[in-house]
Amino acid sequence: MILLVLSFLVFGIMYLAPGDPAEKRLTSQGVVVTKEILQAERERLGLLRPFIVRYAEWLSNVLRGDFGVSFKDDLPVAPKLIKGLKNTCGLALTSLLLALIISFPLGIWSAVKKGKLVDHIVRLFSFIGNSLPNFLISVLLMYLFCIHIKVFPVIADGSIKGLMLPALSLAIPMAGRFTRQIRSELLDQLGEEYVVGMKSRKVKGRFILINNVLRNSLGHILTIIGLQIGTLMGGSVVIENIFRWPGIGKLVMDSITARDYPVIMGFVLIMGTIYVVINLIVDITYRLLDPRSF
Amino acid sequence: MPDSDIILEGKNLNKSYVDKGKKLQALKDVSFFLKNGEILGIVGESGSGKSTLLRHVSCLEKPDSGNLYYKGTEYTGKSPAFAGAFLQMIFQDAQMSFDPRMKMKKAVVEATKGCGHEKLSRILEAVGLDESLLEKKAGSMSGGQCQRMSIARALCSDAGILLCDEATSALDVTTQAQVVALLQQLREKEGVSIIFVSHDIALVSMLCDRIMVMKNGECVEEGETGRVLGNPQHEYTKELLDNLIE
Repeated sequence: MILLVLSFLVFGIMYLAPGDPAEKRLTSQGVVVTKEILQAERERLGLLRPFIVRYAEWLSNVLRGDFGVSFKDDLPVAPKLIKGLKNTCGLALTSLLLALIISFPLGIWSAVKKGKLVDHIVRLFSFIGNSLPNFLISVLLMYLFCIHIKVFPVIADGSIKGLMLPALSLAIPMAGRFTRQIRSELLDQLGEEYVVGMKSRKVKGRFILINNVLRNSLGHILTIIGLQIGTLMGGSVVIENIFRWPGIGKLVMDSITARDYPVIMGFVLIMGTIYVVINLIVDITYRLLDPRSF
Repeated sequence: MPDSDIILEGKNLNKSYVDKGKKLQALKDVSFFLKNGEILGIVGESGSGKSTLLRHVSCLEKPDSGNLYYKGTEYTGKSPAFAGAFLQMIFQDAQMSFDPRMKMKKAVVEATKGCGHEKLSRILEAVGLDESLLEKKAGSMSGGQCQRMSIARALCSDAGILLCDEATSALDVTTQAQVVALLQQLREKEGVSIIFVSHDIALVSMLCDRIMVMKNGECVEEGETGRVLGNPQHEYTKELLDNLIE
């Protein structure tokens, strides 16, 4: 239902938005656009039919697994989206992994050392990381690692080396957010009476942290991380364009410029599905990890 | 009782906190003592410093000044684990005092490694709980059962002193009476000493040998229960008793 409403809304917005895909296509091919040529191209692309007929046709095709062909180059949309999605997933998962590697130890350390110098330093860096927009981080990283030290390529060509800077640009703000949330969640648990009681019964602090506190916090932490994955997939559009990473974000930006509606609709549907599926997985995981459900 | 019977003592305890730039004196020169096998009641309204005092006694917090003694030996500033060897806290929300993921058996035995099955059975019997409850988690037990289990856990750890922080406030009247009867019974049979913190002066008067009245972090009156209730010296104690009568 969500996907149906979403696809209808986006289809409607594109219908009302200024810009003519037929004209864009002809111009990009270097054709001298006349009224007759333009009308014929519109006819060929099916743009002259009523909105509802076009939407119904698109929907019925999608239900049969056919996402249509691109207005830009007449190639099928599905393989384009799959290729872009593969690269975007690679980027998103790498950045998520980096963010977790950074944030978990820092969040735990900061919570355990609450009020100490370490805690203040971690909180300051997580605040800065969280506050910086990722496009600014990417420009700074690019300047440092591509121009100054010259260890990574400016244009990410899809290789592992090219993946590192875009992944780091996405990971740094996310790590800042995660660190603060992990710290806060652990502090809540560390203040619980059962933890206070266990300490007074000589149970080792590290044992309590691993066996009780972390396990009981995991449900909330995974929920936060899970919800971030969806945002990450959509949020990588800017970074993909800065580093020319051949992901779905770059594909959709190019498609918006070209008014390539079938690709845009395919993107919206895929991203919508990812959001819905991730939310569902998060809900199920939370239920499984909730101590009260054990 | 002679002074040698004193097992726990606090002298001139002071503690202040800074909240939004304002200094709050949570404990003002508070002194107290607890004799072996005695039940000391601490009463006062919310924010009077009752729970803060218990947190200091159990070493969860360190006083700004003042000293704490167990059987004449000072333990001020030691760790909660150190104090845990001779005293255990019983919290208001008994369910929250257990890890929600743990079965009772693991929660009790893990915390009391030396507690064998025989001893555990005896203690469970003493607190009026069935052994089958050891297979349950806190969430599937009633408040009264959880509170009894937390008392059992404290007894398993061989602590001779129980610090009950509003331990009956979250329970219904019937369960409250059962827990109070249990504490009396434990004092008689197991010889445990108890500090019983409550805002309910009626309940404290039923259970305790001595009463300490606290207001704004200060001990305003202290004495035998009969004397404090029958002949209160401080205005605040009179006020509490008047409210009780009303």
